[in-house]
Amino acid sequence: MKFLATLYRSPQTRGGLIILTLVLAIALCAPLLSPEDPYQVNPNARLLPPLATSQLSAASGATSQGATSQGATAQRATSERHLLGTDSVGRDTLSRLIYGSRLSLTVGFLAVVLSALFGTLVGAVSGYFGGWLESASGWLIDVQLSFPFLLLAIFLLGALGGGTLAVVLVLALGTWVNYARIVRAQVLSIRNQGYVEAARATGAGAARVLFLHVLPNTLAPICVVASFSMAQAILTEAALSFLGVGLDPSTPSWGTMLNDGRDYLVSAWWIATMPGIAIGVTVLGVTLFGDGLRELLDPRGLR
Amino acid sequence: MLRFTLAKLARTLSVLLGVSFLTFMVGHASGDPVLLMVRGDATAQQKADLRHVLGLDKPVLEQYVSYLAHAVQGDLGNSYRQRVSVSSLIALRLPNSLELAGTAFAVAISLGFALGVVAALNRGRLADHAIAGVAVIGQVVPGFWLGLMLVLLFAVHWPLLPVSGYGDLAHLVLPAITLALPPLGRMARLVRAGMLEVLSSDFIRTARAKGLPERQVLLGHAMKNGLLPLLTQAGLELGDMVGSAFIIESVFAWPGIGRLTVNAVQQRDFLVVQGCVLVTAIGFVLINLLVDLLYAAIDPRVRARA
Amino acid sequence: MSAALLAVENLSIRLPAPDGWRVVVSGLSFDIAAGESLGIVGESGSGKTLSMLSLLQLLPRGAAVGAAHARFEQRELLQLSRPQLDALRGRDIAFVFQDPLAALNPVLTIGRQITEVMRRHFGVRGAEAERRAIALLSKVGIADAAARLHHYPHEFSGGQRQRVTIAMALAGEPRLLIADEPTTALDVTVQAEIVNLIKSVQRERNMSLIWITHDLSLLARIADRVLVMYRGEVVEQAPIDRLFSAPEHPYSRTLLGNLLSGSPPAEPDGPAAGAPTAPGPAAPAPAAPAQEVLLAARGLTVRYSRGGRTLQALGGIDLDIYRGETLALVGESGSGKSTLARALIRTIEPTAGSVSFHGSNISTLSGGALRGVRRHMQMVFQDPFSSLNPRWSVAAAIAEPLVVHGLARGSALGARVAECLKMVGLDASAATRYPHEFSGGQRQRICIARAIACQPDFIVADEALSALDLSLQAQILTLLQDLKARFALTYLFISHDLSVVRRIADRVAVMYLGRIVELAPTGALYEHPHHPYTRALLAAVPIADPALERTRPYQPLAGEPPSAARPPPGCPFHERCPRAQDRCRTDLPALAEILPGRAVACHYPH
Repeated sequence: MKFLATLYRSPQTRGGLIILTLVLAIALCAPLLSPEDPYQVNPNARLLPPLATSQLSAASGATSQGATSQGATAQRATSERHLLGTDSVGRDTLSRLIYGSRLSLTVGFLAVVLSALFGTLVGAVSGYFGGWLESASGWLIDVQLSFPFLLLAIFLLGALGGGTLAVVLVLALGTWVNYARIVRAQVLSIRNQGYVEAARATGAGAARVLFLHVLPNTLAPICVVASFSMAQAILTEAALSFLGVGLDPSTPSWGTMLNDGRDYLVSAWWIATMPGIAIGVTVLGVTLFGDGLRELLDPRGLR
Repeated sequence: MLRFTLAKLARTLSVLLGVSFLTFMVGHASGDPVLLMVRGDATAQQKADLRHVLGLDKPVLEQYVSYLAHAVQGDLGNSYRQRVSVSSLIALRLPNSLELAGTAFAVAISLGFALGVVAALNRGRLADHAIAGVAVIGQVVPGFWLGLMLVLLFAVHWPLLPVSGYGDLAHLVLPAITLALPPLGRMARLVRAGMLEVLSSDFIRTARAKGLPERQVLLGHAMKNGLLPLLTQAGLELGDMVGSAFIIESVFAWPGIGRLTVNAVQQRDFLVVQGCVLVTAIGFVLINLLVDLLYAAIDPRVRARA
Repeated sequence: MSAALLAVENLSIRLPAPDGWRVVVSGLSFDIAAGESLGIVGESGSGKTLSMLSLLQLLPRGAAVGAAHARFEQRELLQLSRPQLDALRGRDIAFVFQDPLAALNPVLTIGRQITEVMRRHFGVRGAEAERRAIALLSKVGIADAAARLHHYPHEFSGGQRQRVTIAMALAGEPRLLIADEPTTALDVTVQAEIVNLIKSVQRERNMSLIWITHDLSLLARIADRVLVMYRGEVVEQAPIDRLFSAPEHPYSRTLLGNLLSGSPPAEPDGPAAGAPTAPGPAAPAPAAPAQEVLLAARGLTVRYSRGGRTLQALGGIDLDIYRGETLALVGESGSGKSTLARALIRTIEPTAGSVSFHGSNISTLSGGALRGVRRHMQMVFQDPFSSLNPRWSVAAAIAEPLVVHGLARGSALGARVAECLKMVGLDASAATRYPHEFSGGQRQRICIARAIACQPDFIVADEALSALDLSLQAQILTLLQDLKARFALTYLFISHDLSVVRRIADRVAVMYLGRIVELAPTGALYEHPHHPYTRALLAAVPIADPALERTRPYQPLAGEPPSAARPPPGCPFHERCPRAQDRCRTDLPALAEILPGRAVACHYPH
């Protein structure tokens, strides 16, 4: 609890947290906030500019989502106001934007968790035990780093197919190295600390020392890396979907919206602009938080 | 220094082997190229024949070795779609990519360094905050989105520059700026942080205590130490830039190796993809090697540790 | 005072704080004449460094400095402009900083860092500047100066680096040298060398010297007058003789009292002369006739390979540790004393040799059996800050040995923790708190509580007092002796501080470059050391008596402590030994008993 209070005091982490809480709230309450079904296609309402209205005709009623409610209202000629306009197949931009937050946050979060777990394990083991483990993982890291990550992602997704799971895995693949390196460096320095030697002198086994003494003290830099790689994950997902190798184009993600929008840049600028702003704000929140966290942890030790 | 270089070279070679192997394996796993090349009504026998002609029925490792042997001589196979050699395709596009990436890199490094130093020397004042603002914007939005916005502003709204394509200097401006902006921001922040740290270190205090005027303290003592983090980051940025260039080339229809790769992936033309990935990876590895060597040349402690 | 080179009156320094200002120095006044040596003594936080830095305007940004005047010759230092300061710094007043590794630019050669001073102040460059730099380096005792000019700071040892910074400071031919704790991080013998060096340069050039230190006994050898500082103020200012014989301020008396409560090491060639011996903890009686061997090492050797080279940290040690005694291991950096302790309890694996505990060989044990033995051997480390896991509560830290060995659980565990806390003089409420809430001395007590938790027979104290202030050292020492008496413990006490060792040890083993060179009961060792290195070590320790220091014929030990990577053939000490003969260069002397209970490894002992 004291830790949270410290977090709040730093203006950077505070700003970051506020933004993130906002985005998280939007994502969680998406069904409540979103004016329309993000998948709902409306051929009569294509490429409408912001603040335009559209008519839902009786014929184009039911989709698989919200079938009953739409079915009920389909009889009435509902006019929907599209605050942010519609896209190339008539879907409401604002709704897709709101639901998009869910997808971006989920994909980002899952990727971070996976890569953090794997990277930390590799880093900790190679740092603590050294020897061939360290050489092997070092070599593996070098090989991976010799591919620019985006290239690797495009390559893998193109070769093995896209979809949400694949994207998460590929994103995790791109970022585990960050954790491994930093955890390894931390472990190397902690390994020589007095309390580690004291534990070993007492007779504690390697596993106990590693998991109870060393790893808890690496949590701080891991959190910093996690926030930056979350930002990286969100941006990369956008790029991959933009190139068409990421998520399925009908999925309401910010990246797919950008993909959609690029073809209509001149005629319907809002389709591409809005998701970019959304991404920018979210990543700003994450980055501010990460920056603030790093400053908090850097000069102050836990003395 | 010599021993250090040789050790690094050996390491680089082993990494390259790993890279080529992985590239090959993934490419191999991605599907049967024969299916791309024949018509839908081809018989099994015809497919088998084609496989045999292309050498695709040999064991995987043998195919890999043969691929390597050819690659070393410059033969990366032929594109399944276009019936021209992969090497020729790459040779055509590579200079364009280098032109774009090179320009962007030069802009990012030089401006980034300059702005970072300015920010460090003006700590807390308007210049510092302004530079920080620009840096942040470059990093939180997707680079390609920034490119799209720039196009909207400077090519559509105010028709000053061309929307896309390759040609003269005007065509280079928008893509290069788009590519340069994120690394520029990161560089500026890094240089600023590095300079501030160096300026408050003990040996700078010693330099002043010896009676050296501030200009000599900055140039003779601070700079060399401040350059070090810049160097590593520059190498990383170049690598990142290669990846981002892929997208930027697509956005601006720039005929480079990135666009070639993306198209090839979409068309499942895998030898092309493999060749591009290999060439890019080699370039990347060589850049990292160069950075490592440069770092060791500047910082004598690295040489000693090796 | 027209003769004063530097006259400071009413200097005050304030630093920005979260809620306004923090006054770190106030009312500082002193002056110093040409050729005079002024010592400034105080503990950390006394403001001694900041006050000297402020004279050259070298304080960090935001500091506010004020003074009635701070005059160097006719110039007001605090009012000088930057160009005027640049002309003065390094030329009239030079600084030697505490940590030479941080004070030198790591990416420039030392030659460059020295010659730039000459270029700046004398306009001398090129070959001439190099020539002068080489002369300077040789003068400060750097061998092979011409070649070393092109080396980088990290290629020098700690003592050599400090010589380099001294050379750099002297390059401008200053009239006043300010030295800020220049020998604090160095070995005792190297320290003696550096002191000698600076004093001789001072005499030669009639240079004024300000020496800042926390070690008052060091000033006995250096200073004419002393300033005692406490919390930013001068509490006493006196000529050195008067300060040592009749200190006025209570704080000065405390400083002196801490120094003298252990008898200082005796004159090597005669009985302890003149130095007062205040009553302190009584010297422990020699080991009882029950000579049961608790821990024995035979041929213990530790070798590392690093970067293709083999370093020998320990060379074939034979040692018996008797039950109930306190054996001290003394030596300077590189002597192998820490390595020996760790090899004995097997936190470092010996390359060769064996260790037996209670008569049975433990060198081949592993896993559960080794853990069983470990229960009886515990260790207390030097740095109280890093010896405790910052994320673990005090209770968890103390309980760990009990948990690892399965000796207690649940409420019994808590009870035992409380018991241990009480035994080290801490309140039971400390159990739920975290290390960072405690001071250094308290943390060390917690570490001791952890060490006694599982009732071991044998405890290694590895420089356990070195990181503490003098007053705390006395307290912890008393605690250790207390616990030893209560629980019949056996101690292996590692230290580089000979005065502390004298107060606690029954026997002393002196180590040099991975070998034991002398082994004797404490009193006998200090009164009549046999090995030349032991003599030099004892001679290098400053005695808190200025009169004695002035008249003592001091012969500093030449050369640097050797590196384990290139051990000299024959006796490891022969390169620096004043008694070395041909035989010493080729034959390694074995540790041999020359009197009952005394062993020396020397061909020509005293």
